[in-house]
Amino acid sequence: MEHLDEKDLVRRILEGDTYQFSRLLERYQRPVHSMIRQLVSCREEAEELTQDVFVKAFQSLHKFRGDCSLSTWLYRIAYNTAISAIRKRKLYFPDVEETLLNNLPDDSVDELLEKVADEAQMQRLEKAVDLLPTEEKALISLYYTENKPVADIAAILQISQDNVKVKLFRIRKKLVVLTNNETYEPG
Amino acid sequence: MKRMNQDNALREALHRRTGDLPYGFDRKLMERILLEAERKSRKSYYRSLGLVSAVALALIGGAMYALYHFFSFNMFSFFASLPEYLSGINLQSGSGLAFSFYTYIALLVLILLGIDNRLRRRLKKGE
Repeated sequence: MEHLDEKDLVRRILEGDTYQFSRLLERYQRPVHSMIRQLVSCREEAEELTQDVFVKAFQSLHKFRGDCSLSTWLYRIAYNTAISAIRKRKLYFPDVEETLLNNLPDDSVDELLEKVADEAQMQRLEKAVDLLPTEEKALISLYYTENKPVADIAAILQISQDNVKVKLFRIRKKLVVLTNNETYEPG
Repeated sequence: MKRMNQDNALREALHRRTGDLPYGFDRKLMERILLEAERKSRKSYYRSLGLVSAVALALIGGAMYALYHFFSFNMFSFFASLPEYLSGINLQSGSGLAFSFYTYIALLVLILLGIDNRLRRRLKKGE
């Protein structure tokens, strides 16, 4: 198959070669769906939102300036689409006290998040991820699942790189608190 | 950040939360994209048609205004006398010959434009 770089691909689609969009789908449909799936628990809704993301991307492809990578641009659309879908619902995310997070030793965080433990522990960790607010879920999904660098995550979530790092440290601690304390309930 | 790179349990937990896309997802999505492309091109066609019509109407309006105000040309009396004028044209006379010549040129231009359009379409399809 002929290899096209992103800019050429975008140019050809904009020139009317709509079938080239299937190449873009081939490359990005799975990672975009994977991120949305982390933010939206319903499988059907995640699929619907993934479709919406690509339709939106096609509609506004002429606005893609190339100042960031196409994947960053697509993830930004995906994040905004998911956020607007989630905002319509009133969700409750538990607040974890700052003192609890500050007093948590780094070693206990490493211990829980590093080793793949027994099934029960893994299920508790999954539930804990579910209790995180949408932005935090997006952040860890981009960092751990999509292996995005901090600079790209900052561009996608429209926050500073320092903020990304601080949030990542905080989320790790929060996950430990949520995993070990089952009194926190999803909203 | 080094610490985070070793968070295998978290990585695994996140991985378990993502499912696969259903079979035929890309085909369905591509169908939606093609429909969107069609809608987009129809929209742009109607937009340019509207623009061309607006410009043409403005030009006709401007021409009529100029003819009426600056050349005292009365459109109504001109159209009223047109049948009489046309019946007076003698195709054997000099102006009549010129008229046939212009008609011939106009038809030739139309035919050439038609051929050009056809060839362009065929070339586009072949790409």
